[in-house]
Amino acid sequence: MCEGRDRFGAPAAASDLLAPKARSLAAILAARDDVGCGLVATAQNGEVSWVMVDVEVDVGQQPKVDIRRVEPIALGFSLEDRGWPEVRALRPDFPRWLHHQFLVPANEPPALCLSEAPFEDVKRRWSSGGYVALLRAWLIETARGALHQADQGLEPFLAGSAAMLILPVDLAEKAPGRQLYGQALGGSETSRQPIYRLSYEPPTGPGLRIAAAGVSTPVRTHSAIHAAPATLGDLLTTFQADDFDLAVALDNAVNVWVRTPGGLDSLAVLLIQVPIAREPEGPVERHDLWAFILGDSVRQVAVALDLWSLEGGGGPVLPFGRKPPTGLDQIEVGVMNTLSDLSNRGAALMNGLAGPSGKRLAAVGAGALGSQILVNLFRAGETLDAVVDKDRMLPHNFARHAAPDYDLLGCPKTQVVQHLAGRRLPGSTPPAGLVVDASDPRGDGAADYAAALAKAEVVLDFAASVPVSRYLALDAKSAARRVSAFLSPNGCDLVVLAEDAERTVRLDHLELNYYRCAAEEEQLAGHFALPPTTRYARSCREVSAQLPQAQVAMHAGIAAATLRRLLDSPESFAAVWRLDAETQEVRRTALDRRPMRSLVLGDWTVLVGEELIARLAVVRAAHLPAETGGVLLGDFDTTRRLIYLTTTLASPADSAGSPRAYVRGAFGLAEKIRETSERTLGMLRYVGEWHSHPEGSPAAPSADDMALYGHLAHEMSVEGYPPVVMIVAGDHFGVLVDGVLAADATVLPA
Amino acid sequence: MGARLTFFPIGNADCTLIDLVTGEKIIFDYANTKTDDPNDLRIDLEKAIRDDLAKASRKDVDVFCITHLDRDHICGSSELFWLEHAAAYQGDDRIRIGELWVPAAVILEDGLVDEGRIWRQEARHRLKQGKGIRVFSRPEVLREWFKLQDLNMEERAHLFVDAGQIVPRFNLADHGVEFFAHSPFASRLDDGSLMDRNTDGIFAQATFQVNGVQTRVMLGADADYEVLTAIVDITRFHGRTERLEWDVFHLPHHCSYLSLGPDKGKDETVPVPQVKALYETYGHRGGIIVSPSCPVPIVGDDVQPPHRQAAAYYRRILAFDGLRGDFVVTMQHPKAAAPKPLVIEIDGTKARIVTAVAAGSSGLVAAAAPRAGRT
Repeated sequence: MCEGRDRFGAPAAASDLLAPKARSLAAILAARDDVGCGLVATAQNGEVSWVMVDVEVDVGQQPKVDIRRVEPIALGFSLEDRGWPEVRALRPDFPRWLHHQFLVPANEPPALCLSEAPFEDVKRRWSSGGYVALLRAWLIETARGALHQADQGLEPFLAGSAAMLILPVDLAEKAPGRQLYGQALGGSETSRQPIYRLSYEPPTGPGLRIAAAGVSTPVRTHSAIHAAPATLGDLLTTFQADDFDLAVALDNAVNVWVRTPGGLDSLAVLLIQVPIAREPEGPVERHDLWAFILGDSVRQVAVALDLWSLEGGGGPVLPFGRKPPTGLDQIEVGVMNTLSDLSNRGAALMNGLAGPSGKRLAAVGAGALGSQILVNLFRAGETLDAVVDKDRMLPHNFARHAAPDYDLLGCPKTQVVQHLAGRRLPGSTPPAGLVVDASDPRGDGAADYAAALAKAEVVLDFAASVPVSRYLALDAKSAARRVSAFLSPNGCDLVVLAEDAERTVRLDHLELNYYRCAAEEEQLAGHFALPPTTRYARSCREVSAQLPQAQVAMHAGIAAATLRRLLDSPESFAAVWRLDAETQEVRRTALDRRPMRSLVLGDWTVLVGEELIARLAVVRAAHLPAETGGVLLGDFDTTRRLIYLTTTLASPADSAGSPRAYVRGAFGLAEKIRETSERTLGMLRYVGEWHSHPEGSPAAPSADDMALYGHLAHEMSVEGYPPVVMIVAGDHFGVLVDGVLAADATVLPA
Repeated sequence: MGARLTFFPIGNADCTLIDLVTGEKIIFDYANTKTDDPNDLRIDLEKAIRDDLAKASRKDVDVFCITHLDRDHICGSSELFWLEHAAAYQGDDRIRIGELWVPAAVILEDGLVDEGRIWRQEARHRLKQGKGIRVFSRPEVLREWFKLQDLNMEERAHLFVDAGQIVPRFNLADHGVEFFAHSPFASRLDDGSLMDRNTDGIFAQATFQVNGVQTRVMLGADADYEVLTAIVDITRFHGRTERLEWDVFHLPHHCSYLSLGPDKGKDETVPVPQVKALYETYGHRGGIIVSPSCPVPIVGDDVQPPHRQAAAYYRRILAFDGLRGDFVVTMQHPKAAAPKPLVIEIDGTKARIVTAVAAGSSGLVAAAAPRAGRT
């Protein structure tokens, strides 16, 4: 090992080694013969203490790679103790193409990467025995062919200090025809590990410029290089082959470098793409990309290659006068660690997803919650086609809105979302911004709004507005699935309502079911409680709720995670998350997401909740043979001629039911209706009456029923609402509205 | 990880623990020979087996195979295992046996005393119960025993396995292993010859399959060269020489020259042709021969095995220009002064010896700790 002498320095007694970890290891190996590793020699070279060992490796009869049963290894511990020890395999024919090896020059022994764990994490619990075990495990597992992990490329690792080069995502497809510009980022050119980036945009910052040129080799069956070239001369030798002359390709590269704006004074970067196939004639399975940064400017490299003359102010050398290249071994070459710019797909992967959902999304509402949900979705790789909001950024909005920059004051909120989406990742397309009233679109934006909704596959409703939700559910012409996310008035509860992909359950069904749950379920008590508000301007409706941004952020996170799952699932969804503002605990309550039954009566449509039907059937059966009944709660939509029947209240105590008749009492009823209305902030109200018919009687109104109906009609007409009477029979029910009767023949639950 | 074979340093005695990739455990023979003599380097086999089961949170083994009833294959076993036939051999600290494998001779042998007799009773009990047993070979003489017991032999046919068959309990697809029964041959007990434990014991080839790669292991009783010759002849006759191939060979009879040929030889035993072929033709490159024995003497002419002349033969054929494999003596691994269990791991690179390294704290929790306290 003649060449090793210089590397490892002078022999030194184990006890004289400078690095404490080396001393400790040598002492243990000298004292024990049962650790699977024997001490051979120790040496000191400057601040690095070397421990040479023979490692006993458990190698099977048919190892996957040429690892032997005894492997001589040198372990270099630096006095500084700020990184993993250097591990060098000393057997001259130790394989150089293994996974978890560093790329080192060919005249150096192979360097092994034993662990990817950060050294500072390991340092605290360092043990020499553990380190030997790690070294043995590396060799044993490599011999078994088990060390390679699926996400790793097949190239050797680069030492941690290699310069980084960030490349455009679509480099492979677009690079051949496009000018690439490059520069150092963030002032990193003076740091130990500079970061350069190539892009299609001319550089703007002050960073050191690089000029890049790409060449491609013929198809290869194995990774291109197993040793790091140190000079341009080395590089030419490394890639030299019968079917490929890198020197010729380099001449072309010089032309590209020189033609890059500012190229002559830039550092030259050579990209070499190596198509890899499993068999010599087989299909190309992947492209390895190698990037090398040259230590001199393009001008100096071109002069060395005699493609550029410095005479007469400088200029290209004519081909016939060209002299052989000189000094190529003086031009240093560094292997660069190549990274790809982040793409939406990459962002999704980093978020633990298989990829972006691929759904065409339109968002309505870009307030505090909406903007923050969208930011979360963007970060997970989602893209947005359009965003709709009529409001502009006012000072108080910056307390909770995702807007990154106070300069956006006065801008439409849609513009903020465009800004957030468009500047995020290279190549991002910002969504269309539509400044329009989302529940009553008129004027210029209306047609664009309609077109955006029609084009969308999923409409995300973050408007926190009943009119907007109803417009989207009932009026907007679009096959898109509607999904709504909003906060309760005090911001403690998050509500997410999602239609199924087929729209069998509509957003308005989910909304009415949600009101019923809010009115009745104990976990949702106080859902509609009002928060303290602040007046942010002097006009009458200019008040804003006081609620913490942290709370909005938590709910935006939950909502984004939920929406992202929904994008991959066709199922409907409805739930409320309640945040305990004291402990920050969050608890989810599932909501009723059954579709409502629809009955058409003249120009009215009655929508009846499944839960109501089930309850009425149970109450009826419990009172048989007597009739029973009560009031119906729900909502009227006089504009769209819709009547929602959602729930009922217990028959008042003073009611009278017999097998032939039912007279609904009134004891405590007004109070109960008021309570329900309060618990839903007026969303549920009195709509009409129901009663049961005994066995054998159809759900058709009797003479008494018609009298009741007349009484209701008289009273309701004051408010302009139609009278509603519902009759529940043994296996079906009927509804009478505005003089028209419709029956649902569906068999009722027992 | 792959399958694992563990051979224990218990002197001239046999015990092989087989761990399958499925987690199943098989023990071939169990002889706890440890004495109280502080100079006795043999392992406390009972503690070793109990520690191993504790590590796997188990109190049972899937199979216990008794290759034959010699003391060096069973001593102490009736104190460790839970036996079904008598409450005296039952208790919370005993290890239950899923399936007991015995040669037919165990059922039939007369005049047994001590542990041999106990295991005969256990085997007979299980055979009567019709479960938890596998009998290797079904000689006609067994029919008389069944008749005496007033039992129907045909109803228990599934409990038998003949030479030349795969033992039904395991298969490559589900367990990553199959066992091919080489001996005993039924004919031997039927031709009226005297019963001989060493020739009527179980000898089998285990084929492991891990990641699509097969590794073959020879295991069994103290077969002499005549039995091995018969095995080679019969297997060749049936054209199934793959059943003679091996990557790991657990030597019969503690490295006795009699398992190679009739003459010990001066420095090296010369095997009879069939046995020579068994080792040199059917052994795979890098194969491992395990001698379950005391250290091999360097000089002298001991009567008892291990015989240095036999060892010399094995060492030569495994040497660099031969199979390039290993010859490991259980009482000399990793060194004669401090023998430890020999662990062979079987995976996609076939068999490899796992170096017995000091395990540090992970080793401390893998075994019951020595007694602590004031006394």
